Amino acid sequence: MRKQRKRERHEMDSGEITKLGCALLLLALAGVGAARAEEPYPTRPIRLVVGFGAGGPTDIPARFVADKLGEALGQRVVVENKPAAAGMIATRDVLSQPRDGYTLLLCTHFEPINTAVYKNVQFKLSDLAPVSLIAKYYYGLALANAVPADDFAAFVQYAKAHPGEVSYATIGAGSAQEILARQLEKLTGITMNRVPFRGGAQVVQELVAGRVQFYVSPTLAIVPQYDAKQLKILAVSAPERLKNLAAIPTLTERGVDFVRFGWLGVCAGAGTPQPILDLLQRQIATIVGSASTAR
Amino acid sequence: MIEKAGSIAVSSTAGELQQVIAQTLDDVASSIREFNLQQEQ
Repeated sequence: MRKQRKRERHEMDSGEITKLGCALLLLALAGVGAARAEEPYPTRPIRLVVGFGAGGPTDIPARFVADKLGEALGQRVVVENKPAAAGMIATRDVLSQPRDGYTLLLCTHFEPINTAVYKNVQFKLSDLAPVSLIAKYYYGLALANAVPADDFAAFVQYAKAHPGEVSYATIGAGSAQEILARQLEKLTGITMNRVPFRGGAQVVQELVAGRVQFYVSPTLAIVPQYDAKQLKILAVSAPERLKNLAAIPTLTERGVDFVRFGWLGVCAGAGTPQPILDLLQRQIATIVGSASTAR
Repeated sequence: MIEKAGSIAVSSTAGELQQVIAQTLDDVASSIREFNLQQEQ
């Protein structure tokens, strides 16, 4: 009996000691976290990893933000291009680094699309900590001059009257361009032939040459050819007309409920200390705000 | 520079970007299944 009481007492003491140890450990960890959050940031250069090539429509805004962010933080922000696999190499690279705010991702609409398209994407959207958007862009429906249609309704009518004769360009299964073209086929009841290309620049060349007829493109990639009258833009996927393409109607105006946009933002890895995320968000919002005002 | 690239400069809170990410996934997920665009890799 006495032995049993002694054992119970010993077990109780052990349990209490364990609880006390856990509490002390938690307090210690909280202290470490607080200390880490209070460390000055940044004390060394920051990498901004871009999943697309230098000089392109993703890279140019990234470099603008990187330069200004570097000035604001007093440390260089170095853009590093890792153009492969629809941006997935860049995403994986950022997520493989410590979550300390020194490696950031120029995130885009490709991150959510990639998680839906690729079975072996090797990351989850919850692995990313969003910081701020930096830009949006809309899509234009580009048509080769050779197709005898000057507006969206005439194009739909032409495509229905010539089934199998109209081809649309895609830059890869699951690309935004492919998904949007397929969605438009469904909405309008037309059927087009799919022609895959390696990249948007090649598609625009083929459109101008008339070897492919239709392409859903970010407007920024087709405005120069439109201005030079080398191709037509039938409509844009914006909720209202774009300032630099005021003559082009929206799809909504043409009776097709279709508003889509691509976007660029800055993300970090989930788990990055909140004070660092907040600092980056404030600085980026100021930079983007000043760029917007300067337009 | 941003305007020259043809984009519209726009910032957001972290929560707003989170919503944009979720909205993008919503916009494409059903189409990717419907049009059988999912890739094995």
